[in-house]
Amino acid sequence: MEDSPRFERLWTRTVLVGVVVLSAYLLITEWDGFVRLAAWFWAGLSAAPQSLSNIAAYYAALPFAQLLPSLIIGALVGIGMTWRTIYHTAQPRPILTLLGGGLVGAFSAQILSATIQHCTYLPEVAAAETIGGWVITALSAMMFLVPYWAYLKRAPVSQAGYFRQRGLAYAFLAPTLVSLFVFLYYPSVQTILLSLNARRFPIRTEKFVCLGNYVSLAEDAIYQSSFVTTVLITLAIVTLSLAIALGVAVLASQKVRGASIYRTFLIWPFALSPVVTGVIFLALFRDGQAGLINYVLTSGFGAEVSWLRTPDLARWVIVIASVWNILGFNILFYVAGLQGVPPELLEAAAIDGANKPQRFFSITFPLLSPYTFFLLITNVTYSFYGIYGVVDALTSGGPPVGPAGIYGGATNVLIFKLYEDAFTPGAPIGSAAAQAIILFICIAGLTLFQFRFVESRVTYAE
Amino acid sequence: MPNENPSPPSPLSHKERGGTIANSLSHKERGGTIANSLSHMRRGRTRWGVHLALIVVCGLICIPALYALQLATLTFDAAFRSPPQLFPPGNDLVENVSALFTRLQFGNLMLNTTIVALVVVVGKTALSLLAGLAFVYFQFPGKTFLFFVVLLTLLMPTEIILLPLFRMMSELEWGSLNPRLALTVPFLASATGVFLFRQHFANIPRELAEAAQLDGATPLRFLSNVLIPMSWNVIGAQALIQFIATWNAYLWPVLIVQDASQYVIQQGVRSASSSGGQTDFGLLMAAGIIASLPPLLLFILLQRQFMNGFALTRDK
Amino acid sequence: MKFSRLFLVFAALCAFAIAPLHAQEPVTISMVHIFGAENDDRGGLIQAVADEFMLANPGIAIELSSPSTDYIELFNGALLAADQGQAPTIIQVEEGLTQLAVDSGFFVPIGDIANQEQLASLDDLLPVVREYYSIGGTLYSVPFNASNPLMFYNKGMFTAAGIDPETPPTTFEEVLAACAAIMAAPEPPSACMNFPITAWFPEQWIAMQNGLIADNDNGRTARATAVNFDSPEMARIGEWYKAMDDAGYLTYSGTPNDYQGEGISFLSKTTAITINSTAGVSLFQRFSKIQSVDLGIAPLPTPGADAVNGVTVGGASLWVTAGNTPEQTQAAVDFIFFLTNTEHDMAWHQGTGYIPTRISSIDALTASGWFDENPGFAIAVAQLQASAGNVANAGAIMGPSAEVRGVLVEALQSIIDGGETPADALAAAKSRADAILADYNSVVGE
Repeated sequence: MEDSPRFERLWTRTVLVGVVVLSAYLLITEWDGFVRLAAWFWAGLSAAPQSLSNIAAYYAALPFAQLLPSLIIGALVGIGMTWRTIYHTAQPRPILTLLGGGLVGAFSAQILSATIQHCTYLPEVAAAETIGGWVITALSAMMFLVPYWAYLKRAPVSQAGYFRQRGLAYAFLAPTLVSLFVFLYYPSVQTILLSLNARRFPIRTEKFVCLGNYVSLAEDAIYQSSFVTTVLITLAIVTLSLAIALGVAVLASQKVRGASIYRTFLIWPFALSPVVTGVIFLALFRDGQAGLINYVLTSGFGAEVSWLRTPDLARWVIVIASVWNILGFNILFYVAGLQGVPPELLEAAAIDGANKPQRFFSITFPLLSPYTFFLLITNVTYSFYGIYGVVDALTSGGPPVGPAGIYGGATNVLIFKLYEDAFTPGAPIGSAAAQAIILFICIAGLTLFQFRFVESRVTYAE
Repeated sequence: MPNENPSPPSPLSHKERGGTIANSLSHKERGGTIANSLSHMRRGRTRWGVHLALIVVCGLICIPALYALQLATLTFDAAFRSPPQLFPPGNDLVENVSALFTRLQFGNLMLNTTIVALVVVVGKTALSLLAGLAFVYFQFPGKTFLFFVVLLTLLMPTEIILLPLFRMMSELEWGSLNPRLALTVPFLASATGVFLFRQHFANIPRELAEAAQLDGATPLRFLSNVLIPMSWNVIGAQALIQFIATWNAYLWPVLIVQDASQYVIQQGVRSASSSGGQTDFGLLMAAGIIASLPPLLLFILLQRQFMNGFALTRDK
Repeated sequence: MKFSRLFLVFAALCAFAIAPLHAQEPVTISMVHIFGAENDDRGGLIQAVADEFMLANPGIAIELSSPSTDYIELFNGALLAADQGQAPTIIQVEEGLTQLAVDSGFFVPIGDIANQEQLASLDDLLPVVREYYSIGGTLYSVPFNASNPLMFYNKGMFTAAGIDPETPPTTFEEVLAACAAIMAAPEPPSACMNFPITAWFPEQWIAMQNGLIADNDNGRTARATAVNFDSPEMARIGEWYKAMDDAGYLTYSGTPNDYQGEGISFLSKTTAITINSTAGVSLFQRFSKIQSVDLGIAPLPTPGADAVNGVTVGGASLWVTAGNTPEQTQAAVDFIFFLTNTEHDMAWHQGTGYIPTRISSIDALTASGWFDENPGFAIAVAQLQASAGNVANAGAIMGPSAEVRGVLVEALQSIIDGGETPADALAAAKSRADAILADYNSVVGE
């Protein structure tokens, strides 16, 4: 270690003391809140037997014809997955494993199917909903099948280097698991439940519509255009910010005097919140002389551009503002990555006669691929979710496209439409919940896709 | 500011290929520096071209902020004018800033936000360290399943659960009585952190853990004496991103915090934007700039640590 | 027995101790409003009245707060708090949200909780204003701040264009003519007119033409199921927007509902005419002095000389939430009627520019010569008093009013920015709005 051990111990100790003090302060000042949390927990746990009996009652009342398809689909998916696993890896007692897979699948399929109350298996339901129901059941089956598959593929591991006190492992994991369950999984289930109802905030009555909200969204021209807008804006933001950041990072990694100062000036905008970014760019792109850009254009060229009132231009303003906001983050990581490129490789290539661009694309860029991969995911997440502040400050969903905006707003990205549909008085929050679930599926799908297909192309230095 | 999901590059498969990042990238051990490798380009010329390019790019990036700074020096009436005074800067920066701290209680808001951010950062780090420790140094039934459970939440950002989470806060009455808890407790677990520390710990040779076991050390002691000192860079980098993300959080606090004295700083910026029914752009810009200073300072201070934390992991 | 005597004494002592304690415990009510911005003295005016009330009623404590300066955010926040069981006792609710407030079940109609005397005092309200907040004969809330749009213009630019600054245009046609003259003047402004692109102004212009916005008598005899955006009255309005835009007379900031931005633009001499709320009169007067703008105030131009039905009312009213103790409810009602009694109604008008809601206030102000000394304030009052008082003036109410208004705004934007014909835009707006209404009504279940 380059730091002296004593300094490190002092540092560690200070931090630990600080943590203890902070925790104590929080506990003492918010004592009543914790008490209520404990009471709420206790109430939840005591209600668990009641929930279980509710579930049992639900299944007792469920007509078997409605239940059967979900069991079959689940079992089929389970057996299919297990069959594939058996095909690739030898398993003792394959029949039993297959059976297990079928059971796990059928059981796991109930999780989401019960949440939607098997409503897609009713005969009078639309075709789109039925198919949606199948997909949901299959996905639900995968939820427990993936761990089952991982369990089947487990390899024996040596016991060296592992602590023996197993109970401790659960104790260490408990806070994370409990927190994730209570504050992430449980509300997610509630979001799903909300998305199955038609409801208008703040009115308390609601109407169960099964997958009706999803079907309406799919048929809604405004939602469709919102989807396309989001995809286009995301593409623009991600490609621009990554390309520009890479270029700037290369520039900033040159060995010049004051490089670190330059770097600071290049990177700092990422610390700004999207709201502040949006406000700053509003001051730049406003209509008339009040906007700096228009003022410069008018003084210089005598022409004025209506940035925020023209659909295409408004989209580009959002893209520029978002790229400006996130550029620093990308530059930061690329600079870090560039520092890790072994110079001997570059020298060897130079000796072999490769010129600068060739050296860059065949050596540097592949070595940066882990960073590119990570930044891809981060930038996409930002373009889907973080961009809300920017849109809210700049365009509020953007100039309407089409007569009376029947094609939606030009910058009405999915997250903006979601919040509008969730927090306007009288707004359809059932539909908003459905939009949230769809957004989650998109991000999840994109991330999984990136993990499977892009990550395999990532080169790691040996 | 991007969401803190997912984890920064800690490649999964390099371990399977028998290498570590440290081995592969510690060019220092191989006796080279980037400076040396690029020295053939330097040859005694000052790199004016590079300087110029850097200055131009910096300028482009900084223009929006410079304009914001200029607006922040103007009073309500002056910023009112169309176009606003571009040069020279006005004299009212001090007035605007002091208005932030007196009327809009920015000092108080910053304190609130700092406490909230600290709690979240410490909580996430602590919980992730423990979880990483459990996943790497213990074998127990259901390990893969539980890891999958945690990993799945990487794909579940807060935005999709805002409404039910709000309902939960209402039942707990945290929104009205304990806003600080409402802003921190739901966000203490971090799948990113678990993933990050798991990768990091997995890169550390097993011999250390074996040695600790032979010495009879408890897992917690191993964590505090061995793992944490080796992880400061990673902890620092993770903490910086978390701090900035929490500092810039806007939507959840707006939803949950009703008491103006408990607002976080982004809510303060928002309230600066509607002053007397007219948008006081000068005050608003000043608010945005002041609100952004702490994360900027923190970033500048931790810049090097941050780069080290994600670029290189040292082998001990 | 000694024992029982002791017990009696003890009980008496307890009663003695508890009674004053009980009497000392104040009834606390809370009220939320939008006037809490830093430069906004209107919040202070309400606080002064609250202080006066608390002085007269020592057993009642009133907590005023302004969680937001935006009506919709305020409403949302208050209802979210109500979800937590922390509802404020009194909420200032924008006029358009009336039906939603009724449907939400969170509120108690004033008509049900006011006493005889207070109900009688409601006859003193301006009919237009009272009609707006009554549904099916029940008055749900007490009007508090009533406003109207007014036309503000730059007298200097009028003179330069050769128009008599004391006879501003009164109809759409006259505005077009005036703009032609203004833009032909030697140094014309960058555009003749700007105003916030909002649904509120078309609602006024429809009322002026005795038209209806929604079916079922503007949603008052039964739930609105369809809008009348395709009516000839609305088409006339759309055509005027298009004509103004085509001729280059109309501009706006780019953001809809941007009352602030449009005011700034006008006061920066970018345009010669603007439309804004009467609530902004004092602000306009103050800043026009700073900016050296010779300010003229006039009534809202009507669609034509035949459109004499008068305007509807804007602003907000005060609602009492359900779920409070009877003492709190009573205290809230008392305070509301105190705040809107004649004396305070007059003071509120003089301090803010909002229209007095009571006939007695207007009479008193006229008698004292206030309107003669402050002609700017008189215009909106006269405009509102001239309303015929029929169902068109009552204004439309519908549940998803925020969404429907947004659709109308987008229609107007598509006419101005998108180059759509008014017929197309309004037809598309109608289909969108009808769908929203249908969806809302299906959920509410009636």
